[in-house]
Parts: sequence; structure tokens; C-alpha cells
Amino acid sequence: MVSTRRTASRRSESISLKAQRRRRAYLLVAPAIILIALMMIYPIIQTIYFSFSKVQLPALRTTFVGFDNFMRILNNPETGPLVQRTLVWIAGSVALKMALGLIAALVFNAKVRGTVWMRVLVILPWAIPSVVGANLWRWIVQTDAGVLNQTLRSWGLESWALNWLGDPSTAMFTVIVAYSWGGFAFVMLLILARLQGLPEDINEAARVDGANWWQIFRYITLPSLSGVLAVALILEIVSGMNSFDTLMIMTGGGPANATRIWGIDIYKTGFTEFNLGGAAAQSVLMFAAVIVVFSIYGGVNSRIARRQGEPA
Amino acid sequence: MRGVFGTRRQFLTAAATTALLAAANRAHSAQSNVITIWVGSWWEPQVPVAQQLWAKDFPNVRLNIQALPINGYLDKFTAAALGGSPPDVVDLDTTWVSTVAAQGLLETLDKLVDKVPVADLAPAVWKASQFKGTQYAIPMRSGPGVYYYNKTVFDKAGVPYPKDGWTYADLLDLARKTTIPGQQYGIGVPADISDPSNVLTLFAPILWAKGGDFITPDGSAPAINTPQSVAAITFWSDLYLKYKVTPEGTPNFTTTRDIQPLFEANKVGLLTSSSNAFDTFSKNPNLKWDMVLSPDGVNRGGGWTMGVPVGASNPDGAKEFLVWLSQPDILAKVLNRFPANKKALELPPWNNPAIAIFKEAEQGARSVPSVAGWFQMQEATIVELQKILVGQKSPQQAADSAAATIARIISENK
Repeated sequence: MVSTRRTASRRSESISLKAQRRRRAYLLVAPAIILIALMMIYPIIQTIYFSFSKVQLPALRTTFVGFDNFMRILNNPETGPLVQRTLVWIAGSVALKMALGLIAALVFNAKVRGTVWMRVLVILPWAIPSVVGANLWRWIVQTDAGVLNQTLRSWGLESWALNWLGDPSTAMFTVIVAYSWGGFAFVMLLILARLQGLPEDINEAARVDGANWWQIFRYITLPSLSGVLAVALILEIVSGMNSFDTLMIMTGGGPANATRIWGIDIYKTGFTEFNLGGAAAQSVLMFAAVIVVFSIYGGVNSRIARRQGEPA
Repeated sequence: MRGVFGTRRQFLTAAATTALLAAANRAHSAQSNVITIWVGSWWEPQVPVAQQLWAKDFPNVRLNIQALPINGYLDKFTAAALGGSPPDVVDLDTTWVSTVAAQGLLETLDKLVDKVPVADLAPAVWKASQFKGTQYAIPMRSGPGVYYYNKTVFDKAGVPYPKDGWTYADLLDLARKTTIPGQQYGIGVPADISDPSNVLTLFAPILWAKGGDFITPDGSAPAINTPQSVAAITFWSDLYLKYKVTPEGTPNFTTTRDIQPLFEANKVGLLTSSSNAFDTFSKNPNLKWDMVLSPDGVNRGGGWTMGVPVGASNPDGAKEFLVWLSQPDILAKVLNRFPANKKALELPPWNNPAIAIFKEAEQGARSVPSVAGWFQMQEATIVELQKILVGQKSPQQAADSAAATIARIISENK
């Protein structure tokens, strides 16, 4: 009887100690949780609140206007072309970054001398601040005195020397190239890390069985990379949606709005027009788009995990 | 009683301590003997000069002058003002004042008017520092535009240099004669939306000289699509499209990033700018250049002017600083750009004959409209101007589109 009481008492003490430890743990992480709430959750809530309001400066006094801000966006004839340009920007930059990243990773995965230094060299654009990179590219593609056109002209390729940033038909393409140049190394690193973890024996066995490099790539390497490719894809899509600095520095959204995408439009609505309610509504729509992308990613990821017999 | 975050007493003690610290911090800011001033990065070398001169007159108050990059300068100010932590004094481009004042982000400075030497100030900058008849800023720097010409470009083409009293017809003639396609161009035309002030430095004087304007004098309607304005727009766009006397990259060109380097490389013959370009070109010993007043005697009178943001923690100190800096002898020593006070211009280093042209240019300086929503109006105008350059619209179509947007902005700001 006494023994049972002692055991119960010890168990009770043990539970109490665990509870105390848990409380201390919560106490220790509380500053981080408060910080996250202040820095992330509060702005999101405020943005959603602003998106249904007319916001008057400087005291940020709000008047509830329901869906007015959203209706204005939907009724604005510029919204369609804006969304279209944003999709072109995202698709173009993501495709280019993924392609360059994959090719570079496959090349630098080769076990030959010098690839380590080449990798460092390729990573450099990613390490350069985007502001510097954008100005560098602006300098390169400058129509009259830029390095690119000067080189083309010196090679006798006069007709290839275009008005890269001054012509709406080439401006978006040029900025996509500049942006992808600065970011493809990240995709390369992700893929390269996965490639280096893959056992070489499977490839060897396939070669012994007579598989050529394309068959090895198509049926062994690519399926092994599906997870990391999906992660890279999702990160790059979100990054493309949020992009701002490269476009702003290289073209400011011009010429004639040819490179004005959603992010730049939000900035101009907020800081040029001082229409914080309108900018908030645009931000909420972008936030919703990001959530949709993540949901699709989550769904696809779960399906892949289930197919591979892993817990989803 | 113990909760998740410890005892209630512990929690209350922590909360009270935090509140006390915050209150103490606020009290410290309010009674602080510091005046925080935001200025553009060109102020950097002048910061110690200003601080030393100030310290002689006000030894107990410290000037915290922050020289910030021009890119994102206004956005940073707006964000700080909205976040409740603006500086005590903010230096503003004259084209920004009306928009920022209309949003209620600046204090009125009518009471300072009697304390500053108004009669000596550049009229265009003084006018641009007002909004709806109220003074929102005190001008310190003036920026009348002049034309810089590259002697090497003119000499190569065997063309005489431009002279005061020239007209826009002369400008076109000189630009055509000095252009050698693929080698050098007669004039640099900024048209990039990211640098609206410099776009207007060239475009607005053409508009005004041809009898056009952005809006009517009473600000009640657009004037950008009147026949005179359309004639001016046509003249401006023809420089690129019809006569091809500007570089190929014009639709995406800014003055400082593109045209000035081309000018220094002897590839552009003429460019418009304020005294900013004077400083840059003076440092280039290989460049042969000079200046001439703008054609038809009208130029865009830009400049920088200082305001006190709503919510500044030391507004009294800020106003004291503005009165102090506006005195000619102080202004002449502190500024490293053309002062907006004619008495300061009679003092060294501003009495240098090499820059006397800027004093003459003051006579023909005119400011852009000081109305609510001006940012939007100028952006709408420049985007439409770009549409002409890239072949999407005719001058009349672009002018009509800009006018429709300006009309909407006027009605929204009534």
C-alpha cells in the first residue's frame, strides 16, 4: 500500500517536473513567438483589414468600404494585361532558372578536375546583390554603348544589336535573362546536392545493361530528382511572384508599361498614388495566389509521397 | 497561480518593466537635444561642416544628419512617416511637396515665413514649396535647368556652339547637324519612368515654350491635350522618332545613368540638367564642355526644400534648424549644391563666375504644378510619352489618354 502511494507520488512529481520543463520551454520560446506574431501575423491581418478599407494618411484612419478595392481591380482594364505580363514573367524566369540550374548541376556533377572552382564561379552571380546585378546588366544591354551591342556590331552582327530595354518586345525577355542569371545558381545548388547523394552503382548497372546517357537521365536521374525539382520549382514561382528590385532598377516597369508586373504595380499604387487600401487589396490577391501555389505543391507532394510509400 | 509564462506576478512585472522602458524611451526622444535630418547622399561631405557650424550656435543640441541614397529616398520617408517614426526634418525634391503635403504628411510652416528671407529666395522653388497657398517647406537648394553642350561633338560635326537667345528651332537644327548616326547624337532625351524629374527637366520647358501645360492654371482640368501641348509633345517625340537625333536607347534613358556617361564619352552633344551635372563634368579634365541658357528662355526650376513631417519627435528644434540654415551666410557654407538664396549666391564659393549662368537661369525658371496627385499625373504623362516613342500611340492619342487620367486624378482629389 505504502509502495503504491510512493510510486503514485513519484509519478506525480515526474509529471509536475515535465510540466514545469514544458512551461520553461514555452517561456524561452515566447519572445520568438511574440516576434513572429508581431512581424508576420499582425501585418498580414492589417493588410487584409486595409484591403477592405479606404485608408487615410497620415494617421492610417480607415473607413470600411467592403469589396470596393477588389472591384476596382477587377474593373480596371489594365488588370488583364498586368496579370498576363506577371504570368509571362513568372513562367519565363522559372523556366530559364530551372533549365540553367539543371544543366549546370549535371555538368558540375561530373567527376573531373576543376569542377569545384567552376561551381564557385557559377555561384558568384547569386552572391552579387540584386541591385548591383541589375545595374550591371543595364550597363551590358545599353543600346548605344553597352558591351553586348558593341560586341555584336564588332562581329558584323549589326542586325542583332537591338534596343534591348527600350523596346517593349525585347524588354521583358532581357529582364528575365538578367533575373535568371542572378538566381539560377540557387537551383543548381539544390539539384547538385541531391545528385551527389545518389549512388553511382545504379547508373553503372544501367550502363552494363546497355542504357545510353539519355535513358539513364530519363529513367534514373530525373525520377530521383523529382522531389528537389518540385521544391526548387515552388520556391522559384514564389520568388518570381514577389520580384521587384531587378525590374524596378532595369526598367522601372517601362517602356510603356511593358515590364510592369504585379509587384511593381502594388508598389506604385501604394507609394505613388498613396492608395494603401488598393495596394493592400492587390497584396491580398497575390497572397491568395501564393497560397494556391503552395496548396498545389502540397497536394502533388503528398501524392508523390503516397506513391513512394512514405507517410504523406 | 502559475500560468504558461510563469506566475502572474512575474508576467505583470515583466510587462510593467517593458512599458516603463518604452515610456522612458519616448520621454527621452521627446526631450532629446537631437534634431534628426534626412537629406540626399550628395550632402555626405557637408555633414561635418553643418554640424560644426551648428555646434557654435547651439552647443547643447546635436544635429543627426542622415545622408540617404536617392533611390527609394521618398519611399523610405513615407514608410517612416506611416510607421510613426519620421525624421524631424526631411529634404524634399520640389516636385514631391504637393503630393506629400496633400496626404497630410507635412506640418504647415506658415509661422516660419516671417523668419526666413523670402525676398531672397528663388521664386520657382518657393512656389513649389507651397500647396493650396500654405507653406509646407523652406527652400534651401535651387535647380534651374540649363543646357550643357559637348564641344568635341560640335567640333567633330563642324557646327558652331549654341548661344543664349536660341530657340527650339535652333536646337533641332543643331541636333540634326551634330548627329552622325552610330557615332554621336545631337541631344540626350531622358524618358525613363524611374527618373520622372529629369524627364520633366527637358520635356516641361518645351511644353511651356510652345504654350502648352500639364493642367489649366486653376488646376481644375487637364491641359496636356490642347493643340499647343500636342505640338510640344510632337516636337519632343520627333527628336527620337522622326529626326533620330537622340540615341537609340532613349525610351529607357535616365539623365544620370545613361545620358551623362554618353555626354562624357563624346557621344551626345546636348543635355539638360541643373548644377548637378556641373559638379560631375568639372571633375573630368578630358571633357570639353560649356553651358547655355535653355531655348526660348524657359526652364524647369527644380530644387530641394526642407519640411517638418507630421509626428516628428522634435518639431520645435526642426523649425529652429530651418530658420538657422536659411540664413545666407550659413547656407552658402553648408550647401554643396546651388543655394536657393540670391544673397548666398553672392558669397564664396557661389560667387564663382563659372556658375553665374545658373543665376541667370533663375529668371526663366518655372515649377511644375503644385497640386494633389501630381505624382500620378506625371507618371501618367510619362508612360503615355513612352508609348509614343515605342510606336504604340500618336502624340494626340497619348495626350488624350494622359488628359483622361489627369482629369480622373483631379476629380478624385477634389
